[in-house]
Amino acid sequence: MREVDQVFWADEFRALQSQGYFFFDFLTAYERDSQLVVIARVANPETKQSQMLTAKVDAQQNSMASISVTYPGAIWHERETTEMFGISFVGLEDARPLLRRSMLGRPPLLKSSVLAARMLKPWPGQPSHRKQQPVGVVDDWLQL
Amino acid sequence: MTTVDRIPAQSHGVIALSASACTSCMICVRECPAWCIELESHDEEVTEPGARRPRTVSVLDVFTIDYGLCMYCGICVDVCPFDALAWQPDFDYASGSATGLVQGINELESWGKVRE
Amino acid sequence: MEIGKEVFVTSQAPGNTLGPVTATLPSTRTYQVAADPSLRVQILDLGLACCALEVGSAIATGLLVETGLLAPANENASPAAGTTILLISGTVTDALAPAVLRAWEQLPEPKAAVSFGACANTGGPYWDAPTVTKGIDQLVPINIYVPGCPPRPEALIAGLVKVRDEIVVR
Repeated sequence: MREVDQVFWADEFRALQSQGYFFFDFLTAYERDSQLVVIARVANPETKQSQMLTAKVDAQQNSMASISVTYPGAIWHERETTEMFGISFVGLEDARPLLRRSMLGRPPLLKSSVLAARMLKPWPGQPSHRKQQPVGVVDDWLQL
Repeated sequence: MTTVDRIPAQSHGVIALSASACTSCMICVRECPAWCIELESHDEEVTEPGARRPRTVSVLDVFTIDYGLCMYCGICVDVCPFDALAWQPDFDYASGSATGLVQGINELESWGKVRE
Repeated sequence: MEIGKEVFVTSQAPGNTLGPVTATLPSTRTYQVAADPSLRVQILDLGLACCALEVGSAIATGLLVETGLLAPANENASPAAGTTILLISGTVTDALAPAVLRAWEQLPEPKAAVSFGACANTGGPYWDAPTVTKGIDQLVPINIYVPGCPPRPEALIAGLVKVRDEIVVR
């Protein structure tokens, strides 16, 4: 796994494809310490080598260059990453959501997004004599 | 050999409860990712013969597993410090209603007794 | 809808921002109930996620027939003669739910619906996901809920027996 500067994200993949890494595997994102990171993997089927690249997403712009021109297979993944993490991909022509019926509200896979189902359902593990939080909710989680 | 006999004893069929082993510590309830276990208990004092003072024990009032929600991950079985939960291979408990998949102490205990 | 042929179900529900939803329905399998050969059931398997593998296993290993509950029906018999069971197995997303509803609506009577596995039953492991339908019974009247994540192939048989018993009583 190799971290690259987000400015060179699309260039790196263009270079990799010219080196024979023409098989696109996946692209997604993750959030660590409030930093969004985009991660993607491509492979060279002949040498059976693969390259996995990561790049930090600029928090101000919250956008990345699309690699879908180089790897058309990335279109579906970039659509999903836009839908779930709210990262926009510059150059991605088809950004229709895959699963969300409405794009209202926060992107669901950000750690700061509170899942409505966890707000509405009482946690069965809540102790009677003290406050305790279930796993997977934000710090200021308050049971409705 | 019937179909049932072919199923390995430790297969993830159903989670059975041994209520007498349960101390109502709530660990399973809190670790369950699907929030599908509910537990209610009260404290009772028991005096054992020869003991100086009575001992407080928790007695289960409610223990339900919603098998409609359960993802059969087995975390509750793994975290139980008292082995009160165990896998059993039974599978024949389909229901005509979603609420019919919520199983209480009696049903959960009966699964444990089948194979003992 | 012609049973036994690959068909396409499209849906354009109001408020659906995704455009038409297309799903391919697989061929049905027709069985006769062993205890009462005049009764036929056709099973239309709507496999949407990993549970579909267990359904496939139940069918491929011949469990349905081996357990003596069902027997393969005469191929020449009219498929319209029996009850059609819609077997919904797997995760139903809100985006796909209209297609499932259309599949149900297009099935000819008499029909029954089986919800197979935790996802179809209640949302299961995705109970807190904003994109998953929390139980397909919000859309389709379910006759039998088969528990499991995934349920064993044998659990499918057990569930189908309960559906069959319902049909026999009816």
